Amino acid sequence: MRVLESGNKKVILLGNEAVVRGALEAGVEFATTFPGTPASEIGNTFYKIAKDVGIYFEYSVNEKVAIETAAGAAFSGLKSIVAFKHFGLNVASDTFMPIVYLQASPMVIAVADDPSCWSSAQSEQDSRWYAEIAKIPMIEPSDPQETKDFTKLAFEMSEKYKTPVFLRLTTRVSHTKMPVELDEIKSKSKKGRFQRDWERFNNLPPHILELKRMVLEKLEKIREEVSEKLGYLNRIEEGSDNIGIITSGVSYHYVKEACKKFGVNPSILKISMANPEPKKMIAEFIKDKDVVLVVEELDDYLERKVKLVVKEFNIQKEIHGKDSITGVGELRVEHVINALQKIYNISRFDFSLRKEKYKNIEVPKRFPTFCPGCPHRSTYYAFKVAMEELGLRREDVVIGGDIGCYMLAINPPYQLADFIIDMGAGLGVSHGIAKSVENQKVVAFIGDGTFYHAGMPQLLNARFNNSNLITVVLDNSYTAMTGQQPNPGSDVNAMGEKVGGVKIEEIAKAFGYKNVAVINPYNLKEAIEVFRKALASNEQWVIVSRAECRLAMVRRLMSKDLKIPKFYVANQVEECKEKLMKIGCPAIQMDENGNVYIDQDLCWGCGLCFQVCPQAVRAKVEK
Amino acid sequence: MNEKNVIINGVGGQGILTLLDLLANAAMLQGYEVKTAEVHGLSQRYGALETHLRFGEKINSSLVMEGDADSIISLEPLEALRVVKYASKKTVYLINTFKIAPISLTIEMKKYPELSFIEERLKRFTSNIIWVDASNKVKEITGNTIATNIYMAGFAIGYGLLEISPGNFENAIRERFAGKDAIIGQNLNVFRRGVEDGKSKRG
Ligand SMILES: Cc1ncc(C[n+]2csc(CCOP(=O)(O)OP(=O)(O)O)c2C)c(N)n1
Ligand code: SF4
Ligand code: SF4
Repeated sequence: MRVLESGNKKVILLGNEAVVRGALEAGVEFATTFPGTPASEIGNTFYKIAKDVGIYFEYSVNEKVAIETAAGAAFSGLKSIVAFKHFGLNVASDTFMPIVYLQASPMVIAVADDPSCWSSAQSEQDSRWYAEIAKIPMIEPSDPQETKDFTKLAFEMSEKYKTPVFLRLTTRVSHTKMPVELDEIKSKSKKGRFQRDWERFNNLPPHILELKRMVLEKLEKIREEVSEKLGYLNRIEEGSDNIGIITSGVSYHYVKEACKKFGVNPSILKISMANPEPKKMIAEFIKDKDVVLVVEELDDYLERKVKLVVKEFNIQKEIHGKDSITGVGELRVEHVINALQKIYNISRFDFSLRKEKYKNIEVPKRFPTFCPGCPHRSTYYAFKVAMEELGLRREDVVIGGDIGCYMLAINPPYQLADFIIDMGAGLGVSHGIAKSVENQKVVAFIGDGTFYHAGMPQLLNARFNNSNLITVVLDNSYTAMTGQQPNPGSDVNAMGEKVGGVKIEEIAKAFGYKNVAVINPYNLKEAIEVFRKALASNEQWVIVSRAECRLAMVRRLMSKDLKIPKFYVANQVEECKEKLMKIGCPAIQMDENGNVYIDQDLCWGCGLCFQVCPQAVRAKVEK
Repeated sequence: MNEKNVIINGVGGQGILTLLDLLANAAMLQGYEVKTAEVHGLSQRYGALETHLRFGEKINSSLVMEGDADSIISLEPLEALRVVKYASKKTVYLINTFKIAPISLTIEMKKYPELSFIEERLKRFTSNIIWVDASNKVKEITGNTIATNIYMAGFAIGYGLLEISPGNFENAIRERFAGKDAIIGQNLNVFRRGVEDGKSKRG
């Protein structure tokens, strides 16, 4: 494995793998995560190597638990790291704030934002503001090499200044690969010891205010000793033009590239520690420039800081930022070139002309869909049929969606999710709707991973406050969308211990639900029957639809050289054609002559199409 | 060589991320600076998948600029059209002819467009369009289409699009699949066939 290669070597690493390598070089002993793209590969890489290296790793139930677990390790004297995506920080924020006061260290908190929302349905969040609220030092690398170096440095800083350090990543850093120079790995197995310390841990008022004062003083110390240290985290590249560009993270590379392509040579202040920001360095940099442009992705975080410096140091300068560079979506070199053209008042590129040219080329959409054979497809198919059989109109059934592979149900052909908010919110909001409406059925779909993560309080709440909500838990044994990570339903945890999976129907019963059913979505008739019963009643239900993630199953079969079952179309039955196509399985296709066929490379043999049209479809018998 | 800007794209599940990693490693072995970007996310599940590969003397951004691709390697015809914004006169398109119909067409019982329809649109941007019968070739060699990605790399290198030597790509294959000799053997075989076919296409 590349992340475990010995030092003095260059290997290609993904930004997220570079986080892991940096942590290993710093001597990390304890790692936790909850999966979420673009941060998923950090945890997945620890998962692959933890046992071999001898360190501890866990997939925690959610991000709040993950940060708490890692803080516990730091309180016990172990070097710890926790990683998650930006939304994870929202979930973890209640613990994120106080552990800065309590000096959880050595500890690194790695958070990946997702400009352009490539892997995020909920909002385009700029997590840098959290550094402000929590008063935590923040480091932002621009590429995988820096990610490795800065992660290591973050641990050193955390240890020296007795504070957790916030490592802020973005999709384009996390998901870029490049050759990375390696040093030696220092991590090895270690046990810690918790040291009682009344002064440190007493955060009841009035002592809490002492702790806050200490945090603020520490931040000033870090400003002086780290942030203002020229050429360390923050550095200046002198240019020949009288124009200054202040930038951070991956935007730095877009600036460099744009200057090269555009043929200009401004001075660049690259800020890798924006909290605490290097006020004197910024003032010094701006002083002799004619114009200053702040280039950053998402919000005007740096720009505001620069404008405050301008005020504080009484410098009269023109500062540009979000007036020239978009705050929506991830940045590209093109954006920076456009901004430079304005500032230099030269026009060499016209991207809008090109845009006109390809705008009128319509390419049929290829929205993501369930894998062939996915159990979610069967569950939604059965639900749809049950609704139709009962003569329920779609507008009379409110369907709460949630986060996971099953949110793809919002797309055609099923369109069986009316809203998707954030993990667990589907259940909570559906309960609110159920309490508010009459003559509408309310059904909430939630995955097993999401249920454990943030669905249990909502399920308990719906029971206690007595709404006639139908909750459908899609239990495929994994947190699948982010890469089939194990969750509390799995038999084995990340360290390979056989712990026995927790059954969701047992939880529902323990919460006091009377109508609890478990269905096998691949048994279409049975599944339809249960949905019919639930929809026809006016009562609370919990239905667990249980079948393993098909992708995980197929991978297991392939690794053991076992055959995957296949189905094929034996007869072209006219009245079946549309029915088959509307299943929306990628394996079911139509040829030039209008005949339906099943692509034998793509079919993963769930048998849904066979149950829908037994006259047309047959199971393939291996000879 | 100053820099090469390459788009590699297709449909999630076609082995595009593997191809990207192999080419990045081969470019590093060739002595270039290299960066790749994966523009994906929800798109793994049979959605459109777009990746960028840049290598040369000095590489900053991992993303290719609009109109700045030297080559576009598309593993699926419709997907070739989806990334046309990166193409301009200098761009060479290498497109696998194997069609994967998107669900948006199949559930509406609509037909997949003709290759000529796609080509006509691509030609508004560049005249260098090479159709490669990769998946069918690979099926002949191995019995299935899985190694289409490797064949396309071979074809591109054989055709001289990338300025990466076949030997370095072969070493990248050996590193990536270390310990799995059967897979290495089959991939090398497919790769070499791709190189040969690319060379003879070049003439
Ligand atoms: C707070 C938060 N953490 C992580 C994620 C990333 N995330 C997106 S989908 C998903 C998986 C959900 O798994 P599950 O509910 O089991 O559904 P499946 O994908 O298995 O169908 C996760 C963790 C998120 N969106 N929000
Ligand atoms: S990964 Fe698993 S759960 Fe997700 S769509 Fe594929 S088969 Fe379904
Ligand atoms: S073709 Fe039929 S049996 Fe095969 S995966 Fe699709 S629905 Fe299941």
